[in-house]
Amino acid sequence: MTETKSDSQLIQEFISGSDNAFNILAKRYQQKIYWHARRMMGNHLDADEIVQQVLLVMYNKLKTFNFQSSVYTWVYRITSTRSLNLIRKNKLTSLFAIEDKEKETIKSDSDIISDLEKREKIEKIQRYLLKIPPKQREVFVLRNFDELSYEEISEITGRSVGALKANYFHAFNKLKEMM
Amino acid sequence: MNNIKEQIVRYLDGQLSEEERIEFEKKLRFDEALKKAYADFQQVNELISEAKTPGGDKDYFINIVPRFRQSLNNNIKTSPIKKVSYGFVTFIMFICTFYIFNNTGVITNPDINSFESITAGLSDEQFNEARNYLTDNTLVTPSEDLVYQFVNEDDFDLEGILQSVPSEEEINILSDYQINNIESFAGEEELQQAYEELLTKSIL
Repeated sequence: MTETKSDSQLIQEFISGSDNAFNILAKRYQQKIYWHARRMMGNHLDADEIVQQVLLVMYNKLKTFNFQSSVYTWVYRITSTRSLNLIRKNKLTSLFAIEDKEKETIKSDSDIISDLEKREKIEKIQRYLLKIPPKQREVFVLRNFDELSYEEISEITGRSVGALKANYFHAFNKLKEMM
Repeated sequence: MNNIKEQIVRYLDGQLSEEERIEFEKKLRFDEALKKAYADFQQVNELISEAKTPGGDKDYFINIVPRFRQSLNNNIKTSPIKKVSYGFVTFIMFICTFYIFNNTGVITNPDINSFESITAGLSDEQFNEARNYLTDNTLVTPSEDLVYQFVNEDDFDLEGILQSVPSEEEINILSDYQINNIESFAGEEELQQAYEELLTKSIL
């Protein structure tokens, strides 16, 4: 019965004091958050960190959510922003980090995909994705993996549809050249 | 070439209109160069399709929200402690900065390394050397009174220099030190006069 409640119903219940409503909402979006973050970051640990961050933002900000966008795009917007921020932070850290190799080993060893064949395919595309600029990667992931329309992506990223299509073309072209 | 690539990407992305799509597919059947380029882009598409449904450990996803709840409770419990510890660390850093600043010699102690104690009993040459050293190292700036006192001793008496010319005696050529000290307390007119006199009397 609770599974069929709409996002706005759950939000109303959460505002009224139902913590369980938040749990249901979080479970509804957790996989989308995780896989988007995973494709942006390229590893499980960073994706997991972003999931926890996004849930915290949702928890703190849901009570003031004004329904100007759908919960769906709002969650993606938070996830995208957090992913880009972590990419920037990792880039800065890698300039100064001494234990870089150790951290990278830990990151690559931790994974939730047990099927080796699947894992190899995912890691292959991830390696290529990590080589394209973050903003192009963002559009490519939202379009191809999250299967969003350009209008939805425009709402999430704040960029025009024309710019997004251009980003998408460049990302696709770069991936093709790498393969 | 870019046009072809763009067309292929737009086709694969579903951006072409119905008419454009039919036109493109017609071209694809007969244009070998287009076929080859299309095959390259298709490779990317196939890789994406293979990676679209990754699955993943179900237990991980089951535990996401409980882990979040746990960390939420931990944050609520520890946040006052965090605030106090940040405040304490800031306070310690302030004390350390103040202590370091206070002990680097920026604030000087007049009793130690005083100009008088260092220069007492020195000859002129030794005095000049000491003064130059101290000035270069900015440890002590001699007071005007002290400089005046030295300048007014026999060999450095400005009035004496102006009034008399030592003919048989050896002429004392004013050192940089002496000129600098005269400049530090003499007025402009006085200084000008001193220079002229010194030049006329071939002291300089």
